[in-house]
Amino acid sequence: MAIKSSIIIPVFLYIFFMGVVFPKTSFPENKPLIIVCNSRDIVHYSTALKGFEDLLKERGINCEISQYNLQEKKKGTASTISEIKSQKPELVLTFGSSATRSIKAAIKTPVVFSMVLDPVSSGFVKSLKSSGNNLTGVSMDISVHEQFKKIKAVIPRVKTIGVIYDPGESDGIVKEAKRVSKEMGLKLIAGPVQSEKEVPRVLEDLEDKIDVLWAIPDATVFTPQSTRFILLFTLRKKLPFMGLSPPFVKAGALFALYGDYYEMGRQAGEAAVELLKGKSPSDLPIVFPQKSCLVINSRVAEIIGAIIPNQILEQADKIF
Amino acid sequence: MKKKQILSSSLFLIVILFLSISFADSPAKGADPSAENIMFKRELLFFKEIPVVITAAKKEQPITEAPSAITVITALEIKESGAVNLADILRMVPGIEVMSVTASNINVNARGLNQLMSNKMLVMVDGRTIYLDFYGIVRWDSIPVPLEEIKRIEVIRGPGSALYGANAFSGVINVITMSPAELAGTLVSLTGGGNDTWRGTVIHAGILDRFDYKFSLSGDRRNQWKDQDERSGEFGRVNGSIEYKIDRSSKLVVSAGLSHLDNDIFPNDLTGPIDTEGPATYLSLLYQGSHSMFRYFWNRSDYEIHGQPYLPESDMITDIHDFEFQHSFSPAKRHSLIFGGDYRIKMIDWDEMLYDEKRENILSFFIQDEYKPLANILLVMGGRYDNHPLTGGRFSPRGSALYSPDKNHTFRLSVSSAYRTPTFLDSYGSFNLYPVSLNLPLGIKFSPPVKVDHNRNLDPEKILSFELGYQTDVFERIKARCDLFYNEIEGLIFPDMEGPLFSLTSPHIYWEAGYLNYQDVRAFGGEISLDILIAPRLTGKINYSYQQLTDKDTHRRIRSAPEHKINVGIGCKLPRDFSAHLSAHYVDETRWDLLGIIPKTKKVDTYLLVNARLGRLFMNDRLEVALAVFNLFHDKHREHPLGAELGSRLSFSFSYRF
Repeated sequence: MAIKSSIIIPVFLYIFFMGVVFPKTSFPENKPLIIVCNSRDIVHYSTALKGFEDLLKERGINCEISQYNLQEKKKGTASTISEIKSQKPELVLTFGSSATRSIKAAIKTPVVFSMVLDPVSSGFVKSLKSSGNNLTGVSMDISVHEQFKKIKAVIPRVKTIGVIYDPGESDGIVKEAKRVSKEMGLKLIAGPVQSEKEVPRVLEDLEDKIDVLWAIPDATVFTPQSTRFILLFTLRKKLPFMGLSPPFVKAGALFALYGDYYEMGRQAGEAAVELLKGKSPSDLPIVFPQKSCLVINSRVAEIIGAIIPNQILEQADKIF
Repeated sequence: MKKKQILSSSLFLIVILFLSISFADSPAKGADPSAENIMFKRELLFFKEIPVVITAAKKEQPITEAPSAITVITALEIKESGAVNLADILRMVPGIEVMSVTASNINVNARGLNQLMSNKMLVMVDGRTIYLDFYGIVRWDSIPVPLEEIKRIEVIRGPGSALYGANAFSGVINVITMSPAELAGTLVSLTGGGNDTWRGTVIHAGILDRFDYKFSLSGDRRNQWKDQDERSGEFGRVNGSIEYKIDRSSKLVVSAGLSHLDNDIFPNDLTGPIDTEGPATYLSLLYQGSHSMFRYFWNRSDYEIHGQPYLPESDMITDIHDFEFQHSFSPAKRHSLIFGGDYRIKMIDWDEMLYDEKRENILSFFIQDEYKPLANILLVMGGRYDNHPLTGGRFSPRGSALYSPDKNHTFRLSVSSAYRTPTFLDSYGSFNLYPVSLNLPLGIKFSPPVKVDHNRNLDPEKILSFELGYQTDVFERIKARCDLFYNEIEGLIFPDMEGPLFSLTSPHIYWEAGYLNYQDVRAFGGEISLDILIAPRLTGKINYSYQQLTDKDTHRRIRSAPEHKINVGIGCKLPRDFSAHLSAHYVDETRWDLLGIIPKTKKVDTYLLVNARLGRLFMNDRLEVALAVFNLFHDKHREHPLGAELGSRLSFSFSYRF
């Protein structure tokens, strides 16, 4: 009996874990064709694509991947789309909303999008639970709650968060932020602007009322000129500034939280595996970045006298 | 009319052509180009490169450009070193010598000036000097701060900055602790290992509305290397501070701490180790504004000295009161001026050595201007005046020029001078020594007294240093630094032995030892260091130091400084939250002239010390378990001829943060 169980248990465990960790999927012997459509030639799309390819490889999916840039000057967008259509791919992977929009309108094959902001407002999907069409994918939005949680961790003394926004562009996210800030015992002061010219005045009004300036992806607020002004102003006034991404932090923001591009590619890969197995895109909910990265500028912290908890510094994915 | 028709038709055709081209290239039917444009523009905000503005802001809020060769050790590097004491962490720094004499007695100095009772390096904790004024030495284990509380250690080689005086002769080590906000929460850590090594720490810190506080409790003990059942040192520490935030840029900080130690010091070649036990306490009050700083601190130590035949049980009580201020402002465009002063009252009472309480009041002032005539040139000019009751007033000027042809390359030229005033031992100490185990020829053992006497006419030791430095940052992956130095050192203070002498009053043979400005030294050398990001999860460090010291009078090479030193470090983050670090330290052989009735020269062989650490994080990085090995390849070696032979030590540690 003892001998039997000593054999059976390891065999069971082996089978059990092999089954869990390496689920083998059967696919048609023909290599499925996956077309990757980039909105533009951006290096971070390549990082995400690497994550996508790695995941498919790990899952034993042998496929053919063909890549297009939508804004390639030699070809027009329409001819690129026609070329993609003519190849009859099993699946299309899009990076960025520009490519997603073009592909969505033209192709009925399953589409996985990635590196896309707010896919519901963009009209790509009906809801986060179900797209109601041939799309599914990964949103690059990090929830306001997670962002505020990180602000509290980096600047433990924070009570009031400031944000500058264009109501025509970012009203939704500011409303959501007001709700979340209330829940978290924080105060949000939002400064509306209609154009980048208003940014200096609004920021000067906010400066002594807020403990941190929070950036949201608002194209009216963050033009090259206004971004430079915001960075300089926050440094001079010793006001912590949470930017959007590593370039902001490298330039002079105190910190930023952003989705891991490689992991977002892998998440898109997970969706692709399900679709290749025969699931419908509308059955797969839209997912958010499962790994967010924290980047901190220690030199800025020194200049503005911000004291970042050591535990947070240790957790940081990158420190400039 | 016809012309008009042709013109309007042409215009129509152009519009049609333009529209058809636009539609032909439009994304798709039904797409809203403006909405798409906005959404995609928003996405692009994440990826666009933004010009760096820190440099621009720095003109208005300058960070001090380093006029010296500086190495910074971060909290992460301290943790990854696996070291169980502060001094061992410094082994990786180029140009720094760390000499472990016993398991709990370590001497640290820079650029070839290390010795027993090393007294030429200024060591501070958060700007508070911590050396023991009687000897001028640092008792590393008496620092009331656990390793986990340290934010970074700045090591400055050479006397480049005018901001530091007194013992800042060969360099400065500034230990900067974390503020309550950085420590917020509770940390518990425990380490146990070979040689009965134990180390435990509890730190708690929190932030209230305007008050921040931190408190730490730590203790450790370790046994001797030689007799592994014999205790070498036991240390307990309590430290705390409260910070009151006045506004965004100013604060008041009250700190206090106590350390209790029971270990030995190794004063010189004749005495061997002296057992000391007792508490050291401090109280510090600091006002830190955006441009001004005022600090008062009181250091007190009360050590019992016992266990030696020539020194009956006695108490050494030291009280130091130090008042310091500094202010910085910009007197003109492109200038940034900092000036300040320090008044230090030293009171030492040690009957057996000094007969009565001795007191010294030392006043000093400094001024330093940073002038940026061009965007890529920085000139740092300054000087300090130190007034000592025995050696009088001395002025030491210092200057540096930094040139950065672009943001990745900086060249530096520094010329500086500094003084180190004699210690209480040099100026006031008088006692008799009875060296033991003096073996004469034919097996005769002989223990004559050595009368050690003070010398109040000593001049301060003087250093004139020339430095040339270059640093570069290549592709944000490789940081390289090279520093060359040439030092002229005058009047190094050592005891000089004379004898045999004969006493007629109570007939006996004796020797006399008196402190003298014994030696003038010429030194040159350099340090090269590379910090490399080999891969995203793999980092490497390598540095090489060379130094050569010569006695200016005899032209004899001084061999107590290792000529070559190489440090290599490699660290990687492994899957499943594992991390591994390895450091190797190669130190060239040294030869030491030992003081004695029969002077001797003894050699310390070349050694290679390799330390390793393997750690793993659990519970969302809150718990870390680690295994560390000191002297991995068991290269048994001494670091001083009279020191213990260092062996290996395996230790396990865990730390939990909540």
